[in-house]
Amino acid sequence: MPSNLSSDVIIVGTGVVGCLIAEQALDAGFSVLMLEAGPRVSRDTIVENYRNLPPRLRNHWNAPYPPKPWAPHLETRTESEGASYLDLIGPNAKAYEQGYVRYAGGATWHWAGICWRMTPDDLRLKSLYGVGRDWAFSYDVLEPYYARAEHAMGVCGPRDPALQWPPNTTRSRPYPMGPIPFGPGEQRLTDVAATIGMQNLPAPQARNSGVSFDGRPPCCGNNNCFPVCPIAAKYDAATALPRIEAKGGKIITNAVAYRVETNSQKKIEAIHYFDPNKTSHSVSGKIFVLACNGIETPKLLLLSANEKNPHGVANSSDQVGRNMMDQPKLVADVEMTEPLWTGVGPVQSSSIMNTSQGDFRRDYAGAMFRMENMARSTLGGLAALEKGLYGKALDQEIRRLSACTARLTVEHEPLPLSFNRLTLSDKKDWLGLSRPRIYYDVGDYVRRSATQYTVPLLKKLAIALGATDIKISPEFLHSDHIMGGTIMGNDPVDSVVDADCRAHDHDNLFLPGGGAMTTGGSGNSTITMAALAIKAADAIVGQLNHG
Amino acid sequence: MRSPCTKLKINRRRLLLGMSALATAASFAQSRGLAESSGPPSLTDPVSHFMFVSRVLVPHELDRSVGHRIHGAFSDVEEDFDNKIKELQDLIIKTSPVDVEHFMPTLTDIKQKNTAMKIISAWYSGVVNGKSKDHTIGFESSLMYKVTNDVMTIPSYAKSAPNGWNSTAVSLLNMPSF
Repeated sequence: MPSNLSSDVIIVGTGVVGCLIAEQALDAGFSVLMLEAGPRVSRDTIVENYRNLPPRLRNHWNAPYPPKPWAPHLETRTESEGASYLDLIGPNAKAYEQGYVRYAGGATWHWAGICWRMTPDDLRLKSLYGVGRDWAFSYDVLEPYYARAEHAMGVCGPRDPALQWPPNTTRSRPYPMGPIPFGPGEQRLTDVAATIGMQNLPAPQARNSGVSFDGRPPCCGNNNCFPVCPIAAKYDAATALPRIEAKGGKIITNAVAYRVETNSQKKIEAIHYFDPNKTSHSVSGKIFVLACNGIETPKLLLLSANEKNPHGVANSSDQVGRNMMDQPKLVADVEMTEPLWTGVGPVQSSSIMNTSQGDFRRDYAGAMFRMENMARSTLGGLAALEKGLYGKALDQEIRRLSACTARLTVEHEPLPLSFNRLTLSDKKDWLGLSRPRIYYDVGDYVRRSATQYTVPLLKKLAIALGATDIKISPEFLHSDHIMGGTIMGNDPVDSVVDADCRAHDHDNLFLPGGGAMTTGGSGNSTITMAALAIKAADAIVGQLNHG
Repeated sequence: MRSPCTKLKINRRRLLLGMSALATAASFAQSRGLAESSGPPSLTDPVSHFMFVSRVLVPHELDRSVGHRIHGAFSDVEEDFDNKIKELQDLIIKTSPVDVEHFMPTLTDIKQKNTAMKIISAWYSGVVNGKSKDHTIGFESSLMYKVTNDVMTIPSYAKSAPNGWNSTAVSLLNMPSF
C-alpha cells in the first residue's frame, strides 16, 4: 500500500555524506528520514561472500555485493555484466566504470579509507594556472570542516608536520590518532622514491590506528580494506546507521527514489520512490538532501524533469550531469629481482603527493603516485599454477611472484569539462527507469600529463625499485572518485549549487558530496565530500532553526 | 622448521605405508600412523584413495576434511573421477616415486597428467573449476596462501595485534613449512 511519511530532513542515500548530515541534524533536534535504494546487509555476509568467491574474482571489488534487481550498480566480473547498468560512451568510456555499490552504507563499504585533503592551490586552478575553475571559497574556509570530518570519521595520520598534507598549511586540530606503521613494501617504496625526489607520505586514513575509536576496533592488518574491512576498523557508513537509528532517525531500505517534486514556489515538496514490488510511495519534509553519489544524484534530478523543470530539477544552468570527473588512472605492473613484500598492513597506506603540485599545471595535470599494498599471494598463486608447475618449483614460484611483483598507479587530476556529461539513456533498468548514460573523454590536459610527465616518472620509479619488467596499462582506468555532476559555484548561470551545496534553484534542496566538487585534485575525494557534507549540515541546521 | 630431508623421509614412509595398506587388509593394522592422520585407505573409501594420490602430488600436510570437499567437487564436475584416481594410484604403486618431482614425468598419458595438475591446482587455489561454475572449496586452507604466510596476510584475516607489524623484509629462501 502506498505510504506518505514526513520528516524535517529527508536524505536520499546512506553513504558517508548522508550519514554525516543525518547525525548532525538529529543531534540538533530535528527528525530525519533516509531512503536507500539497496538492501541492508550485515558485515559477516559480505565477508562470507568475499571468501566464497573463486580466487580469480577476488580482485573484483563489487563481486561480494550482488545488486538487487531494483537497485543495479556496475558489476565487472564479465564484459556483459559490465555493460548491464552504466551506459558508457566516448573515447575513455572505460575510465568511467565507477565501482560504487547500492547498499545501505554506500561505497564506503569498499573504499580504501584514504583521506588526502585538497591543497589551497587545488581550489584556485583558474586564478593560478588559467585552467579549470576556482572554487567558491578558499582553503581557509574549508579547513575547519576538514578537521571536523577527520574527527567524525576517525582519521589517523602523522604527527610530524613535515609528513602532513597539504604542506605549509596550518591544521586547526591534530589527527585523532597517530599513523599506521608501514609494512616492508611501503617502506621500500618510500626509501626508493626519496632517491629520485619523490616523497612517499604516510596517508591520512579513516582507519583506527592502535586504539579503538568511535566504538570501532583498531586495525589488525587484515589487508582487506577493499572489498570489505572484516572488523570495521575502517570507517564505513554502515557503522553509523545503528547510531542514527538510536538517535531516532528512520531508514527505509530498498526504496528507489525516482522523482523529486517541486511546488509553484520552487521548493521541493516530496521525493517519490519505488519499493521492490514497484509500488510508488512518497516522503515529504522541510529540507531535502540528495546524497546518492555523483552518478545517481544527477540522474535523479534529470529523471524529475516536468513542465515546471523542463531540463530537470535544479538545472536552470544546464550544468546538471556535466563536468563529470574522476582521476584518470594508469597502472604499471612491475616485476623485480628482489622481494618487495606488499600485503602487510592496510591495502593502501601511503602516496606520493608532491607530484601533484607545481607551475606545470598551466600545461598538464598534476598526479598522485602510489603502490597497491594488497597481498599478491592470490595473483602469484594463480599465475604460478598457470605455468603448470608442481612440487618445490611451484612453491618457489608462488613465493617469488607474490613477493617480487607490485602494482604502481598514477592518478591524474581532472578538469571540469562540460562535454563529459551524464544524460538519461534510452535503455531502461528493472524498474523501467532510464539508466545513466555517460560520455567521458579524459581530455588533452590529462593526456599531455601522461605523455610528458607521469608515464616517464612512473617508469623512473619502477626502475629505481629494481624492475626488470614493466607493463603499463594501455588505456586510462577509473579511480572510483565520482565528482562534478552537480558542480558548485557562486554564479547560478554556470553552476548547480552554492558554497553550502544548496541548489541555486531550490533553497530547500541540498546536493552535497562529490558531485559538488568544482575541481578534483589528485587525491581521493571522500574527505572533501565529508567536509562539504558537514558544511552543508551547518547550513541545513541553521536554515531549520530560522524557519 | 623441518629439514627437507626429514620431509622426504616422511613422504616415503607414508607412501610405503599407503601402498602396504592397499595391498593387504592385514597391513591396515600395522599402519596406524597413516590411519590416524588421514584415515585408512580402504578399498571402498574413495576419499582415502584421493588423499593417497594427493599426498604424492602435493608435498605438504593435507587436511582430510578439505580433501573430502575437493573430492566431492571433482566427483560433481569430472566424469568417472574415481576411476581416474584409481589409475593414478595404480601408477604410484607401480612406480614408487619418492616425490612429485619424480612422479610427474612418469605421466605420459596427457589425461592422467591433466587430472594430476587439476588436483594440485585445487589444493593450492581452493577452487575446482566446473564447466558452468567454479566450486570454491576453501579460503584460508588454500596452500597458495601458506607459501607466503610468514610475511603476507591472508586477506581478511588479522595479521597481528593492532599496529603489530613492521617493515622487515625476509628472504625468499625462508620457505615456510606447512
